[in-house]
Amino acid sequence: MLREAVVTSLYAAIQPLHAALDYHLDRQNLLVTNLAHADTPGYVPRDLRRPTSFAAAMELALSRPSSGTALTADGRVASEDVYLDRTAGAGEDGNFVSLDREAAKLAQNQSRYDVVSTMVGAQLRLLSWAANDGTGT
Amino acid sequence: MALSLYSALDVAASGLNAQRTRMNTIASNLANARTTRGADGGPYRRIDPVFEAVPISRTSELERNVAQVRVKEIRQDDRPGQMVYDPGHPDANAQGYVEYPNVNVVEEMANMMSASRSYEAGVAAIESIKAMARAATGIGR
Repeated sequence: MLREAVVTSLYAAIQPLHAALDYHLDRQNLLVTNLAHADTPGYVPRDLRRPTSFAAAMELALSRPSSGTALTADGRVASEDVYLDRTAGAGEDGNFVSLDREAAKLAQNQSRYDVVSTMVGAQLRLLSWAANDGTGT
Repeated sequence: MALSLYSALDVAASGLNAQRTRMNTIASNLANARTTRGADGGPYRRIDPVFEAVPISRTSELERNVAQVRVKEIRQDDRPGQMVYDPGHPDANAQGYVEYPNVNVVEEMANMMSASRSYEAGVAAIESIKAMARAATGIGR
């Protein structure tokens, strides 16, 4: 019982990061869809709502790694709420996609994914460092 | 089918395919800007692709919103063409007027630029997906 708890807590720091990776992967799919539909009549771009601000979620994930998932109970960001983003305004054909806007979102999403994956790598290295009694990497 | 980098790649590829189809129709319109004998006998009529969104899967709310682009139809534009007085032309009508295709070269050029930019955006999206895949495979290295 006790041993199991210890093993679980080893990966507790990675779990929320894993959720963040999933969130950005899902969002990337939506943003790519928006770009692909730049000329589909009546298409309204989609985006994924964040549970709180990304910074707040990240801070939570980092400051309380041992308390388990910072985002949702099942380790996933509450990613099911897709919303229609009509900010850019529509053209004659009812298409709301703005290429610049979507491309900027895409670049932003990608760099966030990079940051999170770097953090996962760092956590894993930390674990392997601990597993090797603090020698090597 | 869960969402993955591959589903994103599929969607981006369908977008590129759609823009390429659009480029083909523009090339056809430009090339036939003076064609007075089209497939149905009359002057050439300009064509336009119509795109539609097809969800990759319907298993979750998210997957219903991730949609590939499909060319629904190639629609013919039925606006009347320009009538030019040229009695010597073999396709002139009884009054000596020839109907030229309803292709406006300036309009087609603008369409071409738009298609080209959209294509570039699709390529940029694919680059971004590739960078994410690299980041993901870099975990634990």
